[in-house]
Amino acid sequence: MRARGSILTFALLVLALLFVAGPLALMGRGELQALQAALAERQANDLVDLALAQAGRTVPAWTARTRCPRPGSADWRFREVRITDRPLGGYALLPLRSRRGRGVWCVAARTAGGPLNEGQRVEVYYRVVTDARGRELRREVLR
Amino acid sequence: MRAARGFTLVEVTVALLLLALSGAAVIAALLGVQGSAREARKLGVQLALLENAAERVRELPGPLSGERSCPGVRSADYPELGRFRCVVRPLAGTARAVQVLLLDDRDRILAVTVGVTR
Repeated sequence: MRARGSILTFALLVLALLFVAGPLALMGRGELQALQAALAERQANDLVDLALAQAGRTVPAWTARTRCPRPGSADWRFREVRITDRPLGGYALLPLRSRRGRGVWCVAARTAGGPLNEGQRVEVYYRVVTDARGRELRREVLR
Repeated sequence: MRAARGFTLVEVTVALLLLALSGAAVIAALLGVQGSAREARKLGVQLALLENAAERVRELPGPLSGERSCPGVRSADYPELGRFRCVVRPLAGTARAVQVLLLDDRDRILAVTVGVTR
């Protein structure tokens, strides 16, 4: 009987060790992934700035479009950006019909999810209002 | 008749093996946590550096004619990254667009983003 009791203690010890190992292995990974996503988000927002620079200091020409397309829809035409032949991501810029003197743009950017983005795919969609000289007045997140 | 007390050699061996295996699992998990913590710290510094550089690029008069080092980034400020170079290159296609690259001492890309000059 004494021997069987000892085996129970031993089995509990081994189980406890394994239960410690599992969560430990998962612990550091969450933080790393959050940082990787933050980097990809930064890249996506920099791509948005690139798209807005592309719009230049102009007011968009007349267009029939009055609303931004839904995020993820095929109406966004993404232009790819590559860095040293590896894909970084893409951006899309659509002008909206606006009142005189203002520019209204639908801007989207996404990361390619490759090694340059630490494997993270991030998409951002904004509606941006600019003044006549192309300065940003307002930015709304599209959902 | 053999004495009923104590464990046989096989039992002791199995017990030691199991203990060693689970101990190894714990140590491997600890090493993994340490590795990813180091990686995360490095990535955080790289992210801060890229943000800083992209912000400073906005004050550069564009368009850029060739490669130049990032404005306002001194490698002494980022000892966590070891030896690295931060460079700004023109991005094909658009006039004001630039690429902000973080390269290691063998010119491999550590991290990268895009920026816009003034």
